[in-house]
Amino acid sequence: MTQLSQLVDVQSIQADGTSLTLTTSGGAALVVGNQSFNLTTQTDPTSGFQDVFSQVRDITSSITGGNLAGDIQLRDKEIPSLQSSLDTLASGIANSVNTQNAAGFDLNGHAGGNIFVPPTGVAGSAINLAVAISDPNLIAASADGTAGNNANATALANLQSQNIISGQNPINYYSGIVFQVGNDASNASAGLSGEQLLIQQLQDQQSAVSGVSLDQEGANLVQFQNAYTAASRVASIIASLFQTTINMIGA
Amino acid sequence: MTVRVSPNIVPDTLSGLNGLKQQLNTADLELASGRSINSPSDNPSGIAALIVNHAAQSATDTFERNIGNLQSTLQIADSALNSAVGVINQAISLGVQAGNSSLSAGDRQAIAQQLQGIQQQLVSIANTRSGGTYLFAGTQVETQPFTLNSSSGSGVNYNGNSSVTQVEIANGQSVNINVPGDQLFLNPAGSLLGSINQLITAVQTNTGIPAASDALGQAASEFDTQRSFYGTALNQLQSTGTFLSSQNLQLTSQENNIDAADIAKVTTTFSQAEVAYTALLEAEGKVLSLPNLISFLQ
Repeated sequence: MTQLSQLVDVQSIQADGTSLTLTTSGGAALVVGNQSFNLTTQTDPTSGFQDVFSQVRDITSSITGGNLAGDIQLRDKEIPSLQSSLDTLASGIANSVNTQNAAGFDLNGHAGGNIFVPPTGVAGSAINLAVAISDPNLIAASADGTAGNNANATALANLQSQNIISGQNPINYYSGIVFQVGNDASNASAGLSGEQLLIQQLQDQQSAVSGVSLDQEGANLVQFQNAYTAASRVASIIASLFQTTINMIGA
Repeated sequence: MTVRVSPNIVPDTLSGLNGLKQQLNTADLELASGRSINSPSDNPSGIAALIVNHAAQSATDTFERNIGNLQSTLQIADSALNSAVGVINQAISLGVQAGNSSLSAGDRQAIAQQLQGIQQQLVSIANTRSGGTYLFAGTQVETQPFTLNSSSGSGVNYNGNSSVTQVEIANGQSVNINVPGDQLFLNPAGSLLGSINQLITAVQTNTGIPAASDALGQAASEFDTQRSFYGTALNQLQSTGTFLSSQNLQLTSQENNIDAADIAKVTTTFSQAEVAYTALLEAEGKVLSLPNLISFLQ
């Protein structure tokens, strides 16, 4: 049970003195009497991830404790939220750079095209971010079509200080993401050391009650041995008293 | 009654050793890298500040590179215009010489030919290139700005434009980096190429030579005024460059303030943890080998 409770949140119900029922705190049966029910996994058709099933019921979202819940939370909440931030950043940069480039003229005198492959949507932007051109002459540096004009290049460079990503500039937005990761990790390890202290204290308390102290058992041993010796002395004195009495009667 | 103490001290010791080992590892990593932030969780707000700091550093580096490139281009332009001054002075003295009424027609013709040579030199100076682009063509940098054309009043055609390019050399600070060729060589307040052409015609026809010479003198002083832009711009680049390198130093020291490991402090932490680790091991060894009551009950 101790091992099981490290994996998932377990509740135990003592049915009648002899049989035990174990369920997750969501109520999915794990052990009933002498029968056990395996948890199984199935591939989710939309996300492609594995869902946890008890019999035919999907219990993925109702698992609230243990390693399994931690892994699921990391997979379904923490990482997707970071991914979506990175996607927002990537699509914001790609779209603003493309828009600004389209406002100018390249070295051939043509209106600027896309510098980045245009993202099809926000989701997946970060992983699909790619530069669309290989010829530097296609960067629309010029704002008026003359080769020596650099006004659009300056505008492209200045995108870095403009609030093009959810009301923030790209640098601040990115540093916000990194701060979030660092903060989550540092909160988690602070939480971990707190919990570890708690576990240690509980284990100490458990051990204080149930642990075997050789000193105490030794003392008990001496005590019981003395009591035994004393009792047998009493018995032998009584026996000798009887003996004396019987001898007196006989005489 | 006494409080019962857990007789099993091993778990406590192990967790103590574990904690100390972690302190040793952290201190070791900081000493090895020289940085107090080795992952975002070491100092989340510090890492956010570092990212902003690095962005500012790379922007400053780019500005410094821009200034370096501009300085070499502007120096080429400045020295080209400087060499024009000597040529112009030669033209002025030729004009004075041609005004001498005792000269023969053949002498004037010879002077006119010299002046034409000077005209060509000035046009080739006006067509100076650097890195494959024309320096005095406005923003039409890929088109040769001046071509000789004897039927034009100024003797040349200008194929550039009158635009000025601005380059950002520090946050929010831009400089103009060129004077368009028409403003330098065909300025309405005194057209250098125009007055040379008129002087040539005057000498060839022997009419109005003094007036043409005067006009050339006036054009030469206008040219001096226009070309002084390059000296001023170079000075400005110089001083902004100095400002940027001091800003870069500041950013670097700010970066160190954020994430440089305090070596003295880390070393102290390291040796403290080391002593504690050894002490704990020794104490544990002694406690575990202590005799208990049973040992004495024989």
